[in-house]
Order: sequence, then structure tokens, then C-alpha cells
Amino acid sequence: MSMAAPPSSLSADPPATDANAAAFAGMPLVASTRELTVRYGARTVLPGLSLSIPEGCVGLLGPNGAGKTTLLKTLMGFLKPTAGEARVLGLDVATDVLRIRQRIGLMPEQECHIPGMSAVQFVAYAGELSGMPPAQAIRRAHEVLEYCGLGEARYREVETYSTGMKQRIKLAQALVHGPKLLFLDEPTNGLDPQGRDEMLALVRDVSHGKGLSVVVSSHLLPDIERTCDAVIVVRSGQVVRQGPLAELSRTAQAEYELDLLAYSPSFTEAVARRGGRLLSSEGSRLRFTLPPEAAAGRLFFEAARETGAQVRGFRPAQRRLEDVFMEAIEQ
Amino acid sequence: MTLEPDHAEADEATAPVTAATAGQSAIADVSYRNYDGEMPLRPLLARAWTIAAATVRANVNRRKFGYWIPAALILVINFFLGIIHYVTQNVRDQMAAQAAMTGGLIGGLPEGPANPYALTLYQGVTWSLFLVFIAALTVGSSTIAADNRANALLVYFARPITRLDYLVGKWVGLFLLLAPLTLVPSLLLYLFFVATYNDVGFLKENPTLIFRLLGATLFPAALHASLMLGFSAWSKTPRMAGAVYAGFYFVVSVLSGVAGNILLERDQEQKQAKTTAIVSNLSVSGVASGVAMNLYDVTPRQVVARFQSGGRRRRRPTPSPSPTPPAVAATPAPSGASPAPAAGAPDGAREPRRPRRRGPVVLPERPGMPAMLFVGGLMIVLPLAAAHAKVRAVEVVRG
Repeated sequence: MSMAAPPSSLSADPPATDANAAAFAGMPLVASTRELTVRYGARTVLPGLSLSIPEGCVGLLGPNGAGKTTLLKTLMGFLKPTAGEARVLGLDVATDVLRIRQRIGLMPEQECHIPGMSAVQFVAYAGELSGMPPAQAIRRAHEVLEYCGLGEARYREVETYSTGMKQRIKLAQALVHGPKLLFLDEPTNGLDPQGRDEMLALVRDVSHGKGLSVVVSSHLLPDIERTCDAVIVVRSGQVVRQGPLAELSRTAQAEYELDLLAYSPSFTEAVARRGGRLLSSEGSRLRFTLPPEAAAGRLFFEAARETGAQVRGFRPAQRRLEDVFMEAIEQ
Repeated sequence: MTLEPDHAEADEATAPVTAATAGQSAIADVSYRNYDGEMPLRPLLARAWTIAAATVRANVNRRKFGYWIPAALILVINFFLGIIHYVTQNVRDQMAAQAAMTGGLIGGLPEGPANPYALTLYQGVTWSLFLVFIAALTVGSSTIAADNRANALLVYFARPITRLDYLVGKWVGLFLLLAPLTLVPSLLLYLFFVATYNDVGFLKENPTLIFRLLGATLFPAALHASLMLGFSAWSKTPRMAGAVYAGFYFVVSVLSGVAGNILLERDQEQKQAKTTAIVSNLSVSGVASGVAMNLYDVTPRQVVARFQSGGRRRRRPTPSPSPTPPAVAATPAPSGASPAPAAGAPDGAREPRRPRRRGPVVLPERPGMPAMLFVGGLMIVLPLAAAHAKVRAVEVVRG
């Protein structure tokens, strides 16, 4: 088996449900589940979960106990589903778990390393465990350590690393065997602002244009916004919202954000008389929803001319990921 | 899937952190590249071998004194055994005379002399068992416990490695570290015998000795590897694993020794000699010693006859015409210990020391091979099964 031409997508697989098909229509998939049920004893954590994970960088969001981690465990083959099926990179989790693990990388949330090894030994060993020849593994270990910014510290024992360096080496060991799919569980956990920026930049870089898909599970919505192209929101073991980030952040109605020089109540009233409705105001920044047939530019400038307010700028409003997340969770 | 243009700024920010950071050096390309080399899904043994080799490398590179000092001591012990054997063989007449004298001390049953080569090799193994235990503690306690502490199982099981691969790899690694401790010195002794005594028919008279040697020297390593692995798998730290294993080793040794001695005292006529022999060997070193005894075809009497010491023994009490406290009469007080004052004696007055009685030595029989293999098999299989059960329960990703 060569890593040169593996089946890298599930495009031939039928999408899990109609809703999934609509959310990621036309996108090649790297993983999907259909009616996946996973239980811990008597407690059902995933009650018939159906979802599709497209290629690219996908954020997996959800409150604590939503089933994100259980989903990752199941896709890695650590847990056996009670019912349903899961496929990763075109392979069935129930029957091809070793081949799946050979093609995916896991960066766990908690600290992990092989004790008593230097960074380069550790990463090379991780490559050997994946099936790489030792000579290739050591060469590749040097490469990925350089890429992850640990080139200078590669001969130090991992136990002596700082938290930020340990996060980086977790990424390095997950990348060493050239996976086609990478699972990152809280990749910025415990990092200072600079380390967080650098880690997100690495994640962003590795997930775009490198032939590698990434699933980021994180509680930090800004991290997901900065790195991911698509989002799947899970609650109580069910998908409650999913789709490309650009689509999810699009507003359903004609909503606009305006920046005024100074807040003006009379301007708000003038817009209201023309059919607009004030949604929120934050200092001199206002958010309106307009009737579908209204011409936004003309409406705002007429209101401004009437009231003497000075408009510094206006643009179609976008929802933040936090809004999407909260809306999905509160549904 | 098309990328959204919103991330253009982030893409630009990425470059300085990764490739372009080192991009100050134009000749170095440290950007991420996919690995397109061969990566076959290997069979179980190949996967386990990767882990075994890493286990051996990690312990050898760390230069653990607790491993190398016992290794050196075992070599020294076997060196002196070789010298003793040489002297014994070359002063055969004198030794025969001494054996005749010893025969008076040993429990009355005349027994043919053991194969002197096998006897020397047997003693080489049994005298090394405690040192092998020390080495096993040193290199084995961290085998899985350190992985538990460092969450290394996440690294292993996120790769095409099964629990069986992991355990087989760890076991083989530990076995490869422990086996040379007894195997190499015994092989050196064997080579010494070949070089020195082949002209008097050593190889012709002992064609299977090399195979018996392999069995007797590899069995202790297998035993310690399994037990240490089992204790290590259930511990979160290497120290805890080592402490628990050491406790198990000593407690079981003491219990089997005490139980064996009680049975030996009660069974003066040796009607239950086989049971007594098995009970006396129900410990880690006892099982290893029992298996070696059977493989080399030696008995405790032959061992004692050679050196007049060593082995487990009790002196049979000589019937005494006067009623004396049995503890004093039957067993000589250990050196340094004072006998208890006799009943009725005035306070502070001590009973005059009695002359030491030299009764015939009572020794246990050689334990049966099937029983030793059964107990040894349990000691090998049960810890591995326990380790397998523990490794299964690892939490992989929190959430």
C-alpha cells in the first residue's frame, strides 16, 4: 500500500441524510456517519448521529457533553458503535481501523509523549509506529520539527519542553507520517496569546493547499473562525447546525451595519419611518434590518440628509460564529 | 472545496510563522510537504518489533546502574562457579573423599552424583535469580507505567497498533533485556566446558545440555518480564509498579518458604514429599529454580552435597532423653540470638548454652516439572491478561 494515492475522500459515498447533503452539497467528504449510536454502558452518548465532514478545515463545536469527543474516538476506532456506521477516508471504521489510523493523525488535548526520548527520537518513533521505514521516519521527523518551529530544540528531551513546545510536538507527531486527515482536539489549550497565534497560523497553513484535511474540536469560537472553512455544531449527540462558515454567517434578512459619527436618535426614527428596524446599537454603530425591496444605500442617505447625521460607512451585516453557535444551542 | 477569500489575511499571517520564518535563509525550504513514500500495513510481529526495539534502546541508552551492576555480578558469580568446577574436576579424589564425609550428614538416602556440568550451570542460574529480579525492577517497572503517566498510549493507539502489538512489543523488549543476564554467563560456562572437557567426551555425554541450558536460562526472564509488565500496566508511576512487584516477590517468597518448612517439619517421614516440594517452590524464584532443577536433572541433595551449604534445609531433631523445651532442642538458635531463659530459672539467669546438635539434614524433594510449568505458566499468562485488560480501559480523548 502506498500513501501516494490513497482514496482521500468519500465523494462516492452517499451522504448521511438529506440535510447533510444540502449543507455540504458538491463537496468531497473525508468522513461521514449514518445513524451512529454509541453507548457508555446504559448511557447513550450518540443517539443515531448522521453527519458528513467535508474536505478542508472543519470546526467541530458543541457544549460539554455534546458528543464531540465520543465522535472523534469512534472515528479513530477507539470505541465500537452499538449501531450505525462510520466511514473515514472511504474506509469502514468497523473493519479497516488500522488502515484508517495509518492515514489520520491525532493531536490530543492532553499532554502526551513517549517518556525518555528527545523530540526527534519521539517523532521518528511515531513515524515508525505508523509503518514508515526507520530512515524515512528520521528524515521526516527533522522536516516536521523544523516546520513546527522546534528545529533548534529537537535534540532536547520532551519532558523539558514548555507547554507551548509540547503543543507543537504533539502537532509534529501527528504530521510525521503524512496523514490525509488530522484531528486536532483543543490545539491552543494552555497557550499564551503569541503561542496561540502561532499555533493557529500553523493549523491554518497545514490545512490549506497541502492536501490535508483538518477537523478542529475546540471550545474557542475565535480559533474556529480563524482557521476553519466549515463548521459542525453538535448538541446532545445530534448535529444542530452545519455548513460552510461563509454561509452560516450570512444573515437571513437584509441586515446592515452603519457607523455614524455620533449616535443620533432622530436618524434611527427616520430609518424606522422608511420601514427599517433597529436591531442593536453599540455606541455609534447601529444594526438595522430593512424591507427586502428597499434600496439600502438610498434609504440610509435620505435619512441622514433629513436628520443631519453623518454616515461614516455601512455594509451588509454578518453574523459572528458566536451568534450562530448560541442560536444553534438554544434551539 | 473552495476556500473562502475571508481567510486571505490569515493565510498571509501563516507564512511568516512557518516556512518564511526560516525563509530568511533562501536555501532552506521548511514548508510542510506531504509524505508520499511507501508505508505498508505491517504484520503483527513487525509492529511489535518496533516497540520492542524502542524499549531495549531506551533502557540501554539510559545506562541504568540497577541493570548493569546485577549483570556484572552475575558474570562474576558464573566466573567463580567455573573456577570451582575446574578445581572440583581436577581434584576429584579429594572431593570424593569430602563427598563421602558429607554423605553422613545428608538425610540417609544415598543418591547418585549429579552431572557436574549440569550442577554448575544450575547453580549459575539459581544464584543469579535475585540479581535478575533487581534488574527486572530497574528496567521493567517503567515499561508501561511511564507510558501511563505520560499519556503515551494516545500516541501508540492513534497509530496502526493494537493492544496485542503493544503488549507483545513491550514483553519482547523486556525479555530481550533480561534474558542475556542469565543466558550469556551460562553460555560462557558452556563454552568453557566445551573448550576444556570435550576431550573427555563432554559433548558426547551431554548432547542435550545446550537445549536444557536455553530453557533454564530463558524461563526466569520470561517470568519476570510477564510479572513486571502486569504490575507496570496497573500502575501510574514506575516507582509504584516497582514497589508493588518487590512486595509481591518478597511476600510470596516468605510465605512459600514458611509453608514449605512447616510441611517439612510435620512430614518427617516424607510421605507428602511432592506436595512439600511444590509448596516450597511456590514463589517467583522458587518456580524458576524448580524448572531449572528439572531441566538440569539435579536435586536439592546433590546441590547440598557439593557445597555442604545452601539450599533449604532443616536438621532433624535428635531424640533427647531429658525433657527440654522443643524449640531449643529441635532448632539451634540463630547466631546472635540469645535463647529464652528456662522456665523456673531465676530472673537474669541464663540457661547454659547447649552444645550444637548436628542431626541429619532434611531437604525437600525436587518439585515435579508439570507442577512447576503449570505454576510458571500461570505466572506468565495471568499478568499479561491483566495488562491486556488494563490497556483496554485507556481514555483516549477527553471532552
